[in-house]
Amino acid sequence: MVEVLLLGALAVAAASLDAALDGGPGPFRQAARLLVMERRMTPRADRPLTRIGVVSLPVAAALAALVVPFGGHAALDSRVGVVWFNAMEVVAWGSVWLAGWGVNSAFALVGGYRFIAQGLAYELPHMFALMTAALAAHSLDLRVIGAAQGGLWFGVWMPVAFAVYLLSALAMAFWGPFGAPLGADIAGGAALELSGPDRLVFLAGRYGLLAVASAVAVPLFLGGGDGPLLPAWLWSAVKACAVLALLVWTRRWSPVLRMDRFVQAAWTVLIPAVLLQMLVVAVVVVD
Amino acid sequence: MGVRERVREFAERSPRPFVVSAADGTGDRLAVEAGLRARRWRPALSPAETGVLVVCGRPGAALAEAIDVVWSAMPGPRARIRPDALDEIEPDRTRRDAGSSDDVGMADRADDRDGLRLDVLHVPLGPVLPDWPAGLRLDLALQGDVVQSAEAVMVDTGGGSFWTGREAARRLDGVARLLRVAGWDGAARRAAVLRDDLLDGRQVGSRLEAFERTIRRSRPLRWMTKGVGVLTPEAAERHGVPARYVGDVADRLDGWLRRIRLELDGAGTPDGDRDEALVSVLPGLVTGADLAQARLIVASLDPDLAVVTADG
Repeated sequence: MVEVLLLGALAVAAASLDAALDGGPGPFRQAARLLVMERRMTPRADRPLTRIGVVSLPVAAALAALVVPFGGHAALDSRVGVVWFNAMEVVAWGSVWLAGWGVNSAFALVGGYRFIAQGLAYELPHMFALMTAALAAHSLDLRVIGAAQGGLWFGVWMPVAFAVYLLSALAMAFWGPFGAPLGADIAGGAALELSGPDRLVFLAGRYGLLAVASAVAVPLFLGGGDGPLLPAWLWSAVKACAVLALLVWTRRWSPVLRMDRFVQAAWTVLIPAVLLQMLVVAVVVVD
Repeated sequence: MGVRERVREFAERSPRPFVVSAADGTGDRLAVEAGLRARRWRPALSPAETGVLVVCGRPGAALAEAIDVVWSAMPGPRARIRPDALDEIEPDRTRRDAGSSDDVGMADRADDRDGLRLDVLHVPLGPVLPDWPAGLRLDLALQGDVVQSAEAVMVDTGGGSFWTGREAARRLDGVARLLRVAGWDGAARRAAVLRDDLLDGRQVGSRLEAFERTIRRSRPLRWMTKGVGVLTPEAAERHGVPARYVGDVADRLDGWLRRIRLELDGAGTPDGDRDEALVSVLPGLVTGADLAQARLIVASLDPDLAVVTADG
């Protein structure tokens, strides 16, 4: 369970880094502000659905965290960690959609739908990127994939799959350039009507997803716990921090990408590119 | 002092105000934005996020009514303050009964652009919306997030423009708001700082150049704004909109950047904007666009309703 707690700490670190880059108040102050706030609901909101959406987001992140290895250890002994991680990430689609739908507000609903459209754009390239790493290691176990990379990390000789993974990590946490579901143009989108503790739980879930997605990049593409001097788990943590910082930072580089344009690039450029990458990897591995 | 009190005190040192501006509230709004920046506070995107409401300028009756609706839906502890009272926020901690059951508009049905019969939802954009022209409301008929028809209503007007003789700062403000709508907060903040420095008479030369380079070189920004909200020369002429607004959102942003440079080089020529014409051209431009594009289109025209007089 230490691994899950570590990922929780990473999520808080991500929120702190974002606040620092943003010149705003830190996550603890934000949390305190939301905790002492009244909980309001819009008229005719579907409260149960909204609550399920809000609560299931951090739950999905925490469940995904169970299979994330630090060094050679994960909280849960799973031989299909890649599949589990992928499944939990899709639970998050449901979470955002329910939260957007349940509050009975047009902009929130649009935000929820935007995440579904985003899923259609990023999920296939994402799955092919996951499969490429799994293929090279002959395993769906994140610990085995991490250990299979020897001296040459997958990120080095599968740069396309790695790049696609990083993009899709942003997209699954609807962060930065993929933040349209919570877009400023629709006044906060799916989170528009969430107030007080509801909002806190939902946003915490998003940072959790971002932390998990970053940490999974380490066994998939960055050699897991591989590294000199330090113990393996610490190397995993250091690499996860580096990926997370990079992802958090992207918010400052780019405007939000709209799916009406991005989906075309995803299907005509990213999917063929990552398929080609997979083909190359398959040929090398079979040799 | 109990734990709850301590948490509350800790939280109240960094509130997240929701800022609303009347047509004549531009000066106040800029002061509030600068005030928030100086205190390291962030503005709220929606009223549900916060209990602190800042009203800039003097809203007319219609806008005041819209603000009251927003105010009544804000979660407590609430405080409604004047723009110059950021340090005197005194939240009202009395609990209210939740659940006033306002009537929510129901959807009706019509054919969409592909001939499918879909729900039509009538949704207003504005007048209480961040990074939105003060006093403007667009009544939209939406199918999904696509605008089927639109009507522009000037809810709050008059008061005289804040921007007279401050063309470069006005355009920087427009750029800042457009970038925020586009979801690029970092660049938007740089534009806002440049705008405020310009208004205070500080030197911006090299920083402005660097900012301009960042914007012009951003391929994602170009990708997201190219081909959005194309205004044809004919439509511009029909509505009496100046020719420099012809083109898409990317062209208009580019035009603003050029304009800022010209103004600072002292080569700008004052050409009275036709803000009413800009409003009249909006419904046609946003029809057929999705919500995100509609927001970009409005931000790229940025009409200033303070120059519109009530009798038309």
